Amino acid sequence: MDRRIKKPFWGLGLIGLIIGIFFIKELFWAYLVPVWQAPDEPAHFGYLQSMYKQKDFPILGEATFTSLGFDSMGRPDPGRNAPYVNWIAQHPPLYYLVLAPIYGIIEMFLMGGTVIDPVNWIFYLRIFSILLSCVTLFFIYKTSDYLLTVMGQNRFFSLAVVGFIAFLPGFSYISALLNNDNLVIALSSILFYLLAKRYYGAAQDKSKNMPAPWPRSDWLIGLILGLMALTKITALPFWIAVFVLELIFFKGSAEKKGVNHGEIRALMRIFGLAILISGWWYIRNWYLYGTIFPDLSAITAHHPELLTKYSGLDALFPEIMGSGAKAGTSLWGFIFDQNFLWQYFKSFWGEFGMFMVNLGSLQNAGILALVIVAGLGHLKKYLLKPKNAQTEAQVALKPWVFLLIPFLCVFVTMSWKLFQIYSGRGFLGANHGRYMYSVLLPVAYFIVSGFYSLFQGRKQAFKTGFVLTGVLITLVFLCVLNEFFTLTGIIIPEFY
Amino acid sequence: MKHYLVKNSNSKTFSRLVAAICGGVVLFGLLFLFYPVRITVYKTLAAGNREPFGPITAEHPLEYCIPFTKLDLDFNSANGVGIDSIEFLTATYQRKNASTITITFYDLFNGQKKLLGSQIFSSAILPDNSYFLIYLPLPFKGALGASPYSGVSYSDTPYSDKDSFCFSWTSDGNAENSATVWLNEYHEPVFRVKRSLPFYRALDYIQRAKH
Repeated sequence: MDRRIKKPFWGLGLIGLIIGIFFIKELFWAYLVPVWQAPDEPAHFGYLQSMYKQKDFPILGEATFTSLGFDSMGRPDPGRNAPYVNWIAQHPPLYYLVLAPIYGIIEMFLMGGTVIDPVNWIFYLRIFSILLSCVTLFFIYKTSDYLLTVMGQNRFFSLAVVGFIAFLPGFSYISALLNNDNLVIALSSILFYLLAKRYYGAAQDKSKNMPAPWPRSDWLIGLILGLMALTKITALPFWIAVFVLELIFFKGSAEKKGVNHGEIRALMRIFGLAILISGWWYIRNWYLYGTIFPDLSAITAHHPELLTKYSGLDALFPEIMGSGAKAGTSLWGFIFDQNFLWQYFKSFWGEFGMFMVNLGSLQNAGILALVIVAGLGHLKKYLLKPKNAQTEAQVALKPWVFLLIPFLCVFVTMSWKLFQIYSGRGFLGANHGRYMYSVLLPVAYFIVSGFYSLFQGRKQAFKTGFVLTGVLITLVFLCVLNEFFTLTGIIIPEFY
Repeated sequence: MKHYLVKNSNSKTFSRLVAAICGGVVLFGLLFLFYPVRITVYKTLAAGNREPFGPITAEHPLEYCIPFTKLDLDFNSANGVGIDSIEFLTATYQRKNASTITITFYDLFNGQKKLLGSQIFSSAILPDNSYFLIYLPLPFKGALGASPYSGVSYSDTPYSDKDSFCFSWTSDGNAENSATVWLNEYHEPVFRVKRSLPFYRALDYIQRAKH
């Protein structure tokens, strides 16, 4: 018997409906957020346009082809148009390569190949981001399907996970804008799906209670890891996550004790292909800048004048770090004195515009309460769980490991990097919680599963029935309300 | 193991769910159209020059006036809603020691200067070398009492070129300890007059702001 629960035939219909609603309301977001009021949107546009026009990859510190001018609100101001120093050329090029044909079509057919001013048609480029986020939601739903056996028995569970993400204001915001994070997030959701299918799919070897080999998935996972590394370096923690997961899930699956040659070959296939796809970009970095990770602390983003000719970028870091307002503060003291953790938390749920506006205090308090409630739900589940009550799947497949390892890999690396940026240039308040959106699935699972567990009881209706379905629908409704008040109370008053 | 909902799922369940979701979406759409949103009905750069302005002292205040003729008619709407807040967005530049800042709003009407309200605060609350937003909700609750805009209509009186709505920032500090704000190319202050409107009416301003 297939481990997965038999699907109700309308499951795909409902997810289609949710994604359809998501698409329509994202069009609203794309319209309501003014041009350039996205994280580095002018720079992303400059990267795309320069690459398309010059038929070459941009170089950090060189002038872009694009001429852009801004007013103090970050809005286009043709009166100040001038080429500017490219401050994000350290980003790998995949997102822009995918966008280039769309850009070309728009420029050729809509603008007659002459108009440079993007104000009127950046909306069309943003639609591509929305489509990427639809892909994200779809694969999160499919992944959730594989986890249902061990994480919950309610068919609405997967829909609630998707609903939670679809109405997360920060995610809705970034999904409607020109930013390479969207491709990283979409690829990460595909990676989660492939891994879930690999570890929890129907191809499990029941006799050994272990995942059965799925050789083709080696290549697919390698492909996605390679593409992620070719999109943004914030995706690189997934390389560590996949490596660790492979070690954990295939530990002991060898026919005999000793070296697991099959798994070593699988790892070589995965990472060999990933390196083959993305390695050239990092070799290019080494050749051009003398390091494979140039401008890791994003110093040039707001200090383009400090760019030197390719070499010595890293040497500038101590100088900048030393001049930061928070220099000299201890790590512990800094985290609490400067509210790094709280700012980081808030920015995850919503950080909008060039002035990085967060959600309202009432919303943040509500979200914090929700996280605490979810935590209590998990605590209840842990405390009330009968001993030796683990299912076969829970023992063998460690679902919490599957979700926790990628989350930790991304959380630790991103938090540390953001902390460095924040501590060096704290006055900019760069708490980009959006870097955690590549692990939205574990976060959503934590919230939805915890909320769900808190209301679980012994009666049928409280096990998997209509009461818990109502709980899940209520949770999604709260998310919808949160987004509604974000649009009406934060986004419109902030931008207009 | 079969699931509760699996057992009961059929086309009627699906139809009801879709109908409920679609109905919810339509209701939310209507709510969205009529829900009041705070929107800028007037916005301007608060200064012509683009250099750091300061130190701001009593002898060297930062002042800016908006001619009424430039203000949108909604500024004093016939229904009496009027404006509900004024925002002043700027950035400090090498703020020195703290001084006391006084922000004053007044209008010039028929040549008469009329104080609308003021707020006094320490410059220590402003972050250094950073953007900040001075947000003043209306009506003012200071010594002047209620806002003169509530219940008072200017619509019957023709505006003259001299009639203006003014903003003034002064300080008790001196050249050594007063704040200096950015007024340069990328950081000039923005002055925004806001009021609440149903979204369907706010769309007009949104469309205008885009072009």
